[in-house]
Amino acid sequence: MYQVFYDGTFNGLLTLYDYFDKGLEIETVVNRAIEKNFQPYIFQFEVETDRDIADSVTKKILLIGGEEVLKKIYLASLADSDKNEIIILDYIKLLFTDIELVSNLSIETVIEIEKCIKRVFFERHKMLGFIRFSELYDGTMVSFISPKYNVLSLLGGHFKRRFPDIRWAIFDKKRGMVGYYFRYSFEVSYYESIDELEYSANENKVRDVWKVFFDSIAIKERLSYERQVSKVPLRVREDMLEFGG
Amino acid sequence: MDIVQKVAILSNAAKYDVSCSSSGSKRDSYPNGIGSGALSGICHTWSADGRCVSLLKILMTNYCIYDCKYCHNRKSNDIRRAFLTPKEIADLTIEFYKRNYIEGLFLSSGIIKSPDYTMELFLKTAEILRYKYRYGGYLHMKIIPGASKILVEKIVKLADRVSANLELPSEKSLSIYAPDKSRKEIIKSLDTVLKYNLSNEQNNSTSTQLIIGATEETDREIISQSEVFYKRSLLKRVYYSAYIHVNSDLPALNTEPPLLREHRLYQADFLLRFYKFTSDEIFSKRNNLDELLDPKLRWALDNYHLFPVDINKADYSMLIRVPGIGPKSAKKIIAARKFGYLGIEHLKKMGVQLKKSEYFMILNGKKIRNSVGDLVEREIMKFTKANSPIFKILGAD
Repeated sequence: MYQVFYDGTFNGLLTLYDYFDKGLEIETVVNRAIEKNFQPYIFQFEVETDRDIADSVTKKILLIGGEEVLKKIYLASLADSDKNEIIILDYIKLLFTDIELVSNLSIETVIEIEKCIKRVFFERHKMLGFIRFSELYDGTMVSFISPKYNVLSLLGGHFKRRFPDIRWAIFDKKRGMVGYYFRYSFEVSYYESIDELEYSANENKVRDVWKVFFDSIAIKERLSYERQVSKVPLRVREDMLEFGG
Repeated sequence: MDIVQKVAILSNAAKYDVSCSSSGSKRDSYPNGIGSGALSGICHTWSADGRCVSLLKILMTNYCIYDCKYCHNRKSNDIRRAFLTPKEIADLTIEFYKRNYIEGLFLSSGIIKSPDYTMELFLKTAEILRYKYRYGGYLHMKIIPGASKILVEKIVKLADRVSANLELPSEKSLSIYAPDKSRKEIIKSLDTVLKYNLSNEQNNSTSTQLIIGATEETDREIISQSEVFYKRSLLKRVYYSAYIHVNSDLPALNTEPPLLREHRLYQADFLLRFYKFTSDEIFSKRNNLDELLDPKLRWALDNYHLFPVDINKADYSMLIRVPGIGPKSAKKIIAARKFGYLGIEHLKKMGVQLKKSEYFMILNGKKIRNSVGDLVEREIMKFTKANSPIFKILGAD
């Protein structure tokens, strides 16, 4: 039984599937992109992401399950904080055994996959609201987030429709990823470090107005911090201006 | 006065408007513009009172020529006043919007000079946003009752939602506490909106707000009034706002804000809109809603002779009347019935909530529970835990 490491990418996961399919016995999976602390273990195995292997698994999924199933697997893989790798490996195995199995909602793995997808979309929806952009001196809008799940690739469409003529970027601090939009195209890539940002002349003023607005909109007779915490969990507040982020 | 101070005054003055919904708009972005609607609505943050913040909710001004007794901004109150120009409001909206602080603007105002004068400034704001900035985000504007038809129509054309507050639940109360306002004018302006929508195939939603607990109307009067408005399509949404002591001289019936009553009214309102109840049914045995039990459960207990319902036979309209079963579950049940007889395991798997509903259903020809006694006891216990100050202090468990 091995402790398996991979880089947290979708291709990495599909490469891992190939080893799994060939009989690699897995104890736990460690996603290097988000897990910095893990218990060392005697038997370790490092999966080197291999584009060709991943492509061949992708093709096989497409061939047997079609686009819908591939999309499901991709979406479920985004729920990366939930240790979802084994479930996904099992799910692909089910698919390759018999396509009927992946639509059978009495199988635990199939239910788990649906749940993963639901949670991913829930996180995406929250992020659509919680993202805060700042304006740089050249008009670019930048935002920093640390979402629970890897939803960056799902945010592009919404903001593309909303800000078609603005240049903007969303940084996922937790995974070192950045989604960058310019001239009608949105691309996700990785970043190492960021230079000191130079904000626009207006930026601080607008932030101040927002904070004042946020404080004065609450009705003092009806304060309910419990309700506020349940809606805006503490984990997202570090990236939100009005909570001191 | 600096913009920060103005916003502090004018958003503080706007906070008593409950509506902050941004849903229902699927407006596409303008070419070379900014902004789009999101059908589902998006909350961008939650304020310290636990309310969703979706819109820049602000008054254009809190100067007002009226002297309504319930209003913070009435002319006889000695408060700091401010005014934002249409350009200032439009700029602020765009700056907030492109930082993703908000889904759009909800503009209301005190009345300066005349309803028409105030509405003209609103219209100017909407025009700057839509035409100059090519703004496609959400726009909710107040209609000032008494403004001329042509102005109302122009605003309706540019906004996603318009609203006119009825303020108090009856004409009598309004004439006592807001002598400057006329209920007829308010309804007339809603009617203008409806007619404009019909003849222009537009679908602007309309809403209103009522203050609850300050005057003596019963829940039955309040809900049956909403029912009439929904039926006539004059309103899409009625908001109920528990009375808060803003001014000292409005005689409140309750000293504490009747938050629970407000909650129950919203639940009853849901029964009207999504469960096709009539107000006569909800209030068949009472004039005020039960505080302890939610109105749907209360109705089911009042009409226990209609239960239990056979889950495998009942039609949709009866299924959604079972406490614990909503439109979603009812649809699932009907879809699943085509494939065979449903048992309790099927219901569980489909995610149908059985906690309440099992007391009201028949499966395989058998009742699951014989008496609703435990359910009522449990619900009352739950209520006590959630609402009793002692339980709150001791931490209930």
